Amino acid sequence: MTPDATLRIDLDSTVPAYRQIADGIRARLVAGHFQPGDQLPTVRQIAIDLGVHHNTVAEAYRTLADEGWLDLGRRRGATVQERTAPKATPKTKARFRQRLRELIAEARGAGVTADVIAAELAALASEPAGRGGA
Amino acid sequence: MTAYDLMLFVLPAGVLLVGVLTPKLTRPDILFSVTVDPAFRASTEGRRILRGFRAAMVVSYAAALLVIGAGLAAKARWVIGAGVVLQVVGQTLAFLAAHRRTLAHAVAPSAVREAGLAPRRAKLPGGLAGQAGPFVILAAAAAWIGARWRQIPPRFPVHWNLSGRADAWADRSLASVFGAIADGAVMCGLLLLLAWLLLTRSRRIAAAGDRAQAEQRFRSTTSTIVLATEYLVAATFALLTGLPLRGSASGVAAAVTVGTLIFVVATVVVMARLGQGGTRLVPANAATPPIGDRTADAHWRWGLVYVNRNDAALLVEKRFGLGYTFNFGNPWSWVILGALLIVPIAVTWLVRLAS
Repeated sequence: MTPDATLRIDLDSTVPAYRQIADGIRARLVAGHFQPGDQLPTVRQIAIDLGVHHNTVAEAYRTLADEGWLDLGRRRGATVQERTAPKATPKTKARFRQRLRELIAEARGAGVTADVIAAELAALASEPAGRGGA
Repeated sequence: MTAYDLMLFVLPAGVLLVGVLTPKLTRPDILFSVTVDPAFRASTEGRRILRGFRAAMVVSYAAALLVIGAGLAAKARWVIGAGVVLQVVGQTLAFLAAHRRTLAHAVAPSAVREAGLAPRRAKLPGGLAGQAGPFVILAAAAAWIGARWRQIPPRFPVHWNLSGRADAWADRSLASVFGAIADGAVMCGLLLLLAWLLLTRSRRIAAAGDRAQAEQRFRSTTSTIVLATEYLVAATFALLTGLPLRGSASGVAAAVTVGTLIFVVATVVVMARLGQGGTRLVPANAATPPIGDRTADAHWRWGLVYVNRNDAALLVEKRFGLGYTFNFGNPWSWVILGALLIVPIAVTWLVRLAS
């Protein structure tokens, strides 16, 4: 695990806090910041530091557990699991295309040019995926 | 003038000094419990509010001294008490007025929150041996007095008035002789609980970098001070255990008073050098918007009491003062605070009942 792994969320964002938490941790899991067997902080620790309710963090952890990233133990907290990326179905691809379209629309609406978006996407796509990412 | 009279003049001066210095020790982007731009306190309006606060503090101190002096001259205890209350009320009103004036200059703190993704292990200062020390002191005192049981008079004084004259006595019994040990053990246990809660149930404002390190130093210093308080409590109650053999409390009272004063002054100096959350260790950052203490102004009642049911933290940084305060929106805060207040009183009452 990288020692500077820091999770950030924006309470003013329109994206629900639990989604931001799940997205932030998933991004680090895909990037290989954590190895199978690594422990994540307890729900309580993250909830206290972010100033949100326990249930918000618990929901994020459950989402990641359902996706196969985490094993949730009652006492020992969340453990990173060995995970193989599933084969993306047409439905999954369509869903992500839609999300990407919305995100790009938001970026272009905020003044980010198509060239910059294309370069960012190419750079992100060429990053080596860690365990569990395709 | 007796030592007691002198204390009545010295202690309010100490309270005034701490009160006047406190705005300098808070986080740079929090003034009188309000999130402000870090540059605000140096602005014309910021300086005006600070001057008004200091003036009101000095006036309430001077008024309190006059009343305390009149009470001493008339030998009227209630007047002396009224003087002390006057200072407390005056200083509270000075804070509330400054808080209200500062609210007009509040800025929205950053809504970005951060958390480290490395699991934390709570490490109490001193380790197991250091934490066991206060209880060992109390056990040693119990063993010492137990070995001298036959030398304890059948009836001995257990309470003394301010002049040092005994005004309450007890018969020799297990409860009257070992009661102080029980009291001390309970208080040390509650302080140990508080130190553990501080390490495990309080918010980290910064997750990484210099600020996180400074904050960690502040937190470990605070828990070390809690441990030192445990030792002070254990030593005090161990000394009290020996009173049935001494018959007089004068030497013990002087030792406890001097020891406590030194401890309080040292604590204030150490904490003041760090600043709230260790912020005096790291240069102020002009980052906008200010991060404050990662709590919203709206959740602070009168700028003093934090109430947020949706915040999982049990303890958060005080906004005015050094250290931590409870989140009164968390039901466990009421349970723990109730235990901290009721358990020592209940143990004392049970011991008195038994003796």
